[in-house]
Amino acid sequence: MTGRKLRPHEVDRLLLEWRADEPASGDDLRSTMRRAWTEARAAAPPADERPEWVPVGLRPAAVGIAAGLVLVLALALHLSLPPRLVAASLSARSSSLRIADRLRRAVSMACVLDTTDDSGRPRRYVVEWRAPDEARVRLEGPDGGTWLRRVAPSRASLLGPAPAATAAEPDDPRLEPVRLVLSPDRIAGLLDGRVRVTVDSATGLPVRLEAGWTARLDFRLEDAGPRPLVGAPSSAR
Amino acid sequence: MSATMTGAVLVGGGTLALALVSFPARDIGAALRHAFTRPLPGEGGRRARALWEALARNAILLGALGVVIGFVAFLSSGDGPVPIAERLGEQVLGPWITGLALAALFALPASRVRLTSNGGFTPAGDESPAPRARGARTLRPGRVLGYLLLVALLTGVFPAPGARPDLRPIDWLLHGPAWLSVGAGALAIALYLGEMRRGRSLTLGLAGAGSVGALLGLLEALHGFASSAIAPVAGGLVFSLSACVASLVGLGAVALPLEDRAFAAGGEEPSSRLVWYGFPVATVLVVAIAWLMVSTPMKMRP
Repeated sequence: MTGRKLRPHEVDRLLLEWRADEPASGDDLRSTMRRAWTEARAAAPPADERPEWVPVGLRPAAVGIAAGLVLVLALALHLSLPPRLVAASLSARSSSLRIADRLRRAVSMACVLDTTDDSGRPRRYVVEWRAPDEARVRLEGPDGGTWLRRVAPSRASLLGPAPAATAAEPDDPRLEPVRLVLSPDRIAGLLDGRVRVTVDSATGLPVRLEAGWTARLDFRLEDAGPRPLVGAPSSAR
Repeated sequence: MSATMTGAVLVGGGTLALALVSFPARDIGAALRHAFTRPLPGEGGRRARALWEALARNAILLGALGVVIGFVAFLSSGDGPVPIAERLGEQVLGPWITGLALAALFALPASRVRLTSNGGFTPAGDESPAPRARGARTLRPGRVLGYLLLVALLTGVFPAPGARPDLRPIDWLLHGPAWLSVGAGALAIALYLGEMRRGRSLTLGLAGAGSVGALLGLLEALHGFASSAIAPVAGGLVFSLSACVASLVGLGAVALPLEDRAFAAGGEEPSSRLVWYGFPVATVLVVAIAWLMVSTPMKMRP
C-alpha cells in the first residue's frame, strides 16, 4: 500500500496486471474500473503533494533543510545575544523583592526626612515607627509639632483579622511630605524606581531615599532584639 | 482601557475575527440559526456544531494569549513588588477566565443536536462529505476583514512600554530567536508529517515547536535561578514566553483556520483536540511558573 497518488500510466499497468489471466471478463472489468478512476480523478481537485505555499521549484526536502538551518541559527542567536535590558529589569525587581521581604520583618524604624516647604524653607521631619502600626512624627522648627498616628497597613489579608478602625491618614497638611515614609510597609511601596534608594550591602536594608527630598533610614528587625523608642533616632545615617 | 476591558476585547473581538477568517458568512449564519432557532439536521448540523466548537477553541486560545500579554504588561509597567499579587487576578488571569467563560457558552450550541419525535437523535442522513468547494476563493472579503480585525486587536492590546528604557514589552513578546525557532521547527515538523494543506500537520508542528521552545526556555531559566545568575533567567523566560506567543498566534491565524476549512469541505474529524485545548493550558502553566520565578527574590551571588 502506498499513499502516493498514482499517475494514469501506472494505473493502466496495475489494471493490466490485475486479472491478467481472465482476458475476457478482465477487459470489461478493467475498462469499468479505469473509467471510474478517471471520473473520480477529474471530480477531485488536483492533488498536489507540494505544500501550497512552498515556492514552485523547491522540493520539500530543501525547505526542510532550510528550516533546520534557521532553527540552528535562531538558537545560536539566542545563546550569543542575551536580552540585557530584560535582565536589568529582572535584577532590579529581584532586589526590590529582597528589600521588601526584609522590611516586612522590621519592628521599629527611624527616619529623618529633609525637604523644603512651598516657600523654599528647609524642613526636617523625624519619624519613629514601631510595630505594628504606631508612628510618631516630629516637625522641627518654630512652627513644628509632634503627632502620633496609627498607620493602616497598605494591604489587608482576607484571611487575617480586619485592621482596626484608625485615624490613620495624616489630616494635617504639614504631614503631607512624610506620608510616604510613615512605615516600612509604605517605604516598600516606593521600591518601583520612583525614588533613588541606597541600600546597605551588609543588612540589605535601605538607608537613604532621594526624590527631591532626602530621607535617612534606620531599621530594627524582629530578630535583633527590642530597642526602646525614645527621643531622636540615635543611628540615623 | 482597564486591564479587564483589555482582556475582554482581546478574547471577544479576537474570537469574532477568527470566526470571519475561518468560516464564510453563510456558515456563520447557519450556525446562528442552529444556536438560536432549531438545531440543523444532518450535514448542516455537523458544520454548525463544528463552527461553535471552533469558536470555543479560539476563545480558550485567545485567553491564553491574553494571559501572556497581561503578565508582560505587568512586568513592563515598572510597578514595584508590592502589587504583584493584586495585579495577578485582573491583568493576568482575567483574559483566561473570560476565554473559559466564552468557551463554556459556545459549547452549548456545539453540543446541540436535533432529536427525533421518539426521543432519538436524527438519523445521520447524508453523512457523506459535502463536495469540496471547487474554486473557493482564498481571499474572501470576510477572511481579509477577519485578519485586519485580528491585527488591529493585537496591536491595540500590545502593552505600552514602561517609563524606564529597560521596560520594553517587545523584548518579552517578540524575541526574534524564539519566533524563528518556532516558525522553522513548525515548518520542519509539518513537512515531515505531510498534507499541510489540511492544517493538521501545521497544528501539530506549531504546538510541538512551541512546546519544545517553551520547555527549553523554562529549563534555562530554572538553571539560572538555581545558580543565582540573572542572565539565563531573563533569557530563558523571554524565550519561553515568546515561543508560546508565536505558537498561539500561528495556531490562531494559520493552522486552525486551515483545519476548519478542511473539515468544512468534508474532511475527517480533527484529531488534534489535545493540541487545541492542551497547548493553551500549557501556556498558562508556563506563565504561572514564570510568575513564581519573578516574584521570588533571587539570592545574589556574593
